[in-house]
Amino acid sequence: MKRKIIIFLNVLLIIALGTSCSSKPKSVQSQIFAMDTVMSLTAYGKNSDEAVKAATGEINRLDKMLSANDADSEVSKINASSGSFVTVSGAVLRQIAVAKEVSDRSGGAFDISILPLVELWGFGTDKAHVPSNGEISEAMSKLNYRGIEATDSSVRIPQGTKITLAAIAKGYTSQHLCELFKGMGVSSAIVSLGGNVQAVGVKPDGSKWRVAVQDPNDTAKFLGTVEIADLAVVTSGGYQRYFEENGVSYHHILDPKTGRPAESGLSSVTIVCADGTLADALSTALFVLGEDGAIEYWRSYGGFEAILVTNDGRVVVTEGLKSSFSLSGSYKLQYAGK
Amino acid sequence: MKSISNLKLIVIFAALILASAASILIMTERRQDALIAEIYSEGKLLYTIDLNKVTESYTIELPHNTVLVEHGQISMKCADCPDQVCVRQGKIKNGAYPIVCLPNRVEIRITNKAGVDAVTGR
Repeated sequence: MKRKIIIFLNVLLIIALGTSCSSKPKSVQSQIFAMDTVMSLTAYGKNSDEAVKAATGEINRLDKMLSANDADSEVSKINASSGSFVTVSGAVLRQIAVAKEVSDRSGGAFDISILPLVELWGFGTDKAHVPSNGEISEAMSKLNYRGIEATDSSVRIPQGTKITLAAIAKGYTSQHLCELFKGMGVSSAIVSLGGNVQAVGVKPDGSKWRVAVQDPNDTAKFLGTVEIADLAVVTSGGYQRYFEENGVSYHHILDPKTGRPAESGLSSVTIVCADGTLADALSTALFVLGEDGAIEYWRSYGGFEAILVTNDGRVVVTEGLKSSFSLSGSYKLQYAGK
Repeated sequence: MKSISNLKLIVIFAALILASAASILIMTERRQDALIAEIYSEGKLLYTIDLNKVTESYTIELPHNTVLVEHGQISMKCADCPDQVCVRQGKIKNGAYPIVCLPNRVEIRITNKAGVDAVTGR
């Protein structure tokens, strides 16, 4: 009898020790500097090692392919051969297709042919400055997203036009990585490419991923959280990259209609969408469109949800996020319906 | 004689269980109190610091950056990069927003993320 008690106590002890060191599934994390930002990848379960390794290789490959600053990139080749067709990879074709759709639907609020304006303002360089009105007009005359043509293997941009995929490449990359993870049998993973977040499945414990949205007015705080499974969450905000001149700050999201930083009354736009590429383009487009234009876009086309932060302290959330978004800041919450 | 030794064994096991339970409690308590900062360079973890255990401030010299470690907070004291974004960000006390020096590929992050898996909006 006593021996039985001893065995029972032993078993109890083993269980206690076992549960205290709770058997979490294996997780692999990696940090990569690429595409002018810092990226973090986390994958869980079997094959996560190989998947993260493969993902790192893909990030570096895409970075070289998509950068407008790298003379050997596909984007640079397109820009160098304006007026004639250039053979490009499926990655570039996919981004151009999504970009064209969002450009058309937003009436040009999103425009990948904006590179001459971006270079003029010098965002992200030590030559950032406010250009003259004449310089802005001249750069604006080169914008022409409607003239971009694509076949199933090549792209042609009008002569004198220059494109940049900076506002869509990270979204494409997160989408691509999530597809890569799934293809390698990873059913639980989350990637954050400088704030472009995309998740595969749910967390290993079966619960949804909690993604915090940064407060545009206090970057040390969260505006709220959104719970997701198998979705991308992408934010565009004027607070992210900017420079100051004579006490005025100029943010990096240019309005193709004015040639200047967009002043649409919004301080940030977050898109929640199954497709990372589309989410990235939409976050910029809706930021430029402003509250009314953004809600109208959502009502007309759907396929995504949005969280808009207005300059007057409101958070406007599309109704599809009613059950998954929770506000934590001191903003006034409003829902937009169809 | 035999029964006494069995009794002893039971007492020993009971004590062991109590001790392990107590140590588990203490460990979880400690874990909650920790405020872990990690310093990465080129994606490699160089330092892991519990900011709540820092009693006296000190600096860590990296090739192009100087990190200031203080009780409960951490900041980039100086960097030789042109944009100084990392220095201007000031002190961080939680995991909401890591300090990133892109030109020098240095990142300082606090791992306690208040129950979130990722942050969008950088």
